[in-house]
Amino acid sequence: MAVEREQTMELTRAVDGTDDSALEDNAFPRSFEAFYTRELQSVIGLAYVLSGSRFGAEDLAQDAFLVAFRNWERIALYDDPGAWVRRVVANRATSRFRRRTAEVKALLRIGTRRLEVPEIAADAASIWEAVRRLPTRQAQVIALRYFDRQPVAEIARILDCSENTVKTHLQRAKHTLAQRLEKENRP
Amino acid sequence: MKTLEEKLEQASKDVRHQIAQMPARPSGAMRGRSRRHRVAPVVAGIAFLLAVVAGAMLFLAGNAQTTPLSALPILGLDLPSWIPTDATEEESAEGGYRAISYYLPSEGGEHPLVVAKLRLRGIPVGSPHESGRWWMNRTDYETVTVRGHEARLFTSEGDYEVVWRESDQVVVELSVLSGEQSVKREQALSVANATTTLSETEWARMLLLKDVIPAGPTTTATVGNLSRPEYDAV
Repeated sequence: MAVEREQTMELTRAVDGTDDSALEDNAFPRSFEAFYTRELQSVIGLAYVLSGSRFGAEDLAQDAFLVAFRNWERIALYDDPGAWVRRVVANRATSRFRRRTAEVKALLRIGTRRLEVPEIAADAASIWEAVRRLPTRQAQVIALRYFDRQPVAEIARILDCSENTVKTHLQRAKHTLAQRLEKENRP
Repeated sequence: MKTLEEKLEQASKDVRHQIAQMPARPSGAMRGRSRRHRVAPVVAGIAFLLAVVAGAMLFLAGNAQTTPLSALPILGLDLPSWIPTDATEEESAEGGYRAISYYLPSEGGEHPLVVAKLRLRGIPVGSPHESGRWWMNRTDYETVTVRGHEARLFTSEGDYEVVWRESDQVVVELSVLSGEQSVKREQALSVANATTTLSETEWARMLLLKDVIPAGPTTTATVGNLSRPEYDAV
């Protein structure tokens, strides 16, 4: 019981960001507050470009952070909690069931202000639409490389595969995208 | 001519720019969310029992009373079974929009949720806002007729979107989404055709949420036996 209470207090301190000792210089933030603040926007963006859902992207991201929050004691010890939360979002955003559930939940939320991604320019929207039509892994690699500006090594870590696999996906994705976009833009 | 890399960079930049404009939900909300996730099954169970009891009472009374949404006299869909859940506006002058969400309650099926989101946009014919809309730049649509108006029907992974110009000033965009199953084309079209026919003045008024909803920030309507806040006018 006492252990559970202490764990709860630690978690609360982590959420409030009041545990300054949890922050390490030049290291990944160990308080949930700092982690959340630092990663939120790019994780929502990743959810958006991969799901295409302006209504559900924030929910997908929040759900991933919720899982991180509930397991923060463990996840905070990872070398890179950001990679973990990106993996969760990348997988959920490309799962049709998860994506649709998040969208419906967001649309049905009653009594609270819904957050939705503002509309992007038509050109950008069509590029991401083409990305989403790629095979799942290729779409994830493109989103992480270009939207999230992750290096190949980090993408490999996020997607739990080798760097060579990432390079292969990247190459194939770009080849397919270039062909498709050229075809679509042909008069 | 931009290279693929440049296009991807630009598309990424656009998304980052838009995301940066979103208000951030504070991390403290996680505690509430976490609590909700833990208590959700219990609440769902209690709600189910209450619904069964209340439903039985209404059945015995022989009459399921539904109070009309008097604050929204000109909103929406003329489909009694669809329940409005949410209304928002965003800079509803030119280029802005007003959105109303509806859902179709479960009929006990395995896939209960179908959501219709109706967006009313103040977009004059030929305005820059018109050329920037996604449906202007897509060619993969089917032309259909919605209450005498020519409309574009788009489909994506089983969901449907219908877009039509209601007047010289107003465009309606309707998304029909389902939680788990594909939405039937006919269902999307029936929702589109059930939108209320309004005069030019009424359409203009619909784009001004505050004019239509003069009451306080939250209006409560009674739907069957359940009382719920219908929308949060923000």
